[in-house]
Amino acid sequence: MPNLILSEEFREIAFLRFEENERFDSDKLNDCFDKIKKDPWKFVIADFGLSSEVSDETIKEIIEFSRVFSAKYFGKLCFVVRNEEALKKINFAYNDGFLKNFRNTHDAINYFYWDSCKEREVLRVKMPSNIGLVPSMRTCVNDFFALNGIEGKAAFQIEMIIDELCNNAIEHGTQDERKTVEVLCSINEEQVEINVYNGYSPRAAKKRSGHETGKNMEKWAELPNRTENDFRGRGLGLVKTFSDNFEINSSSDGTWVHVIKKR
Amino acid sequence: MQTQIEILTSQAEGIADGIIVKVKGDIDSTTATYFSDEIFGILNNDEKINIIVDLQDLRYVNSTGLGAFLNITKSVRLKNGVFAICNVNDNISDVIDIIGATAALNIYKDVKEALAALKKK
Repeated sequence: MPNLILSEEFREIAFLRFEENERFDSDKLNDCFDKIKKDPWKFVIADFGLSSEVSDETIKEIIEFSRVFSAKYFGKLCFVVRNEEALKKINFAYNDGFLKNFRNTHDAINYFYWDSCKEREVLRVKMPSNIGLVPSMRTCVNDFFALNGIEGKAAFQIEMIIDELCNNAIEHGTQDERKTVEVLCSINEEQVEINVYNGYSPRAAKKRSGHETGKNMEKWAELPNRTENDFRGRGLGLVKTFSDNFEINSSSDGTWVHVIKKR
Repeated sequence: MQTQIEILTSQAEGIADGIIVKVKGDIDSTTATYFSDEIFGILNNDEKINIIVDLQDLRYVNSTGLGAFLNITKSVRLKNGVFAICNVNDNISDVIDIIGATAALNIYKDVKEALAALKKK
């Protein structure tokens, strides 16, 4: 039976918890929905956890409820589904419409508070200049943006931006592990902002002459002639293509790349 | 902490010196060399010159990985073989198009289509 739980700690959130291999019970489900509509809960977390058996009828009822809940009660519903087969089933039923899924209730609650407050979320990660660590950086940034509602093609493009910029910072900057590469990301409802530094010093950029600074570095980002012999040098071109604003700054100490991608 | 990549091979039925390579994971700057080495091993040691790479389980590829695809395509062509890729997801397909590599690579919808095309050659 689905259990409707209102936490004392998170008063604006209702948890709709489904047990493993739960049988569909329309009456019980509708009782839960009626209670949610009557009380001022604005955020419902449909928690299927690790359950693999999710009935089509249950999914259908939840989809219908989420649409009414959003349109008439200005509420939001998200899922916590960790089983891949169940997630695929729910995703298919939503037919690429609205669906937010999180791996645990903690992430879902964080999303609710971020969405409510509309504040800018910031992630700052620093790693040794080691190419083997770039995949971990990508995962970290992916998770941050997924938590903040970035998914699908946008998520892929942002992952590529991070990956290409970090790779460049290490390959063309320094491969000394005593040096670091720093990634600073922020997101609000309008845009995503990404900064990648590999030792760039604004003070060094201003003081020393003879070093290129500012936007004239963007020539590095032009895609090379499109022949199969040009195997390299395409990374920054991809970054620029996926960005709405792209800027490279260089000092004697390193490089700073700044990207904005509108949502 | 590199990403994981898994490569599985199977015989390409009806294709002389043919092989199907299934890739799972990410081809990025930490795995592109391993991927290339595996393919060149198939090409040079096993002497399979008609190679179909099934990318259905390829989640992500970056410019380094795509460079590997182009490099392999050229090397296989020099041996009068074909390097084909198939089951490319939409995101990766977009990237291939952006870098202008669509014409340079032999891209097919799925393994069946790739096999049919190679059988005709």
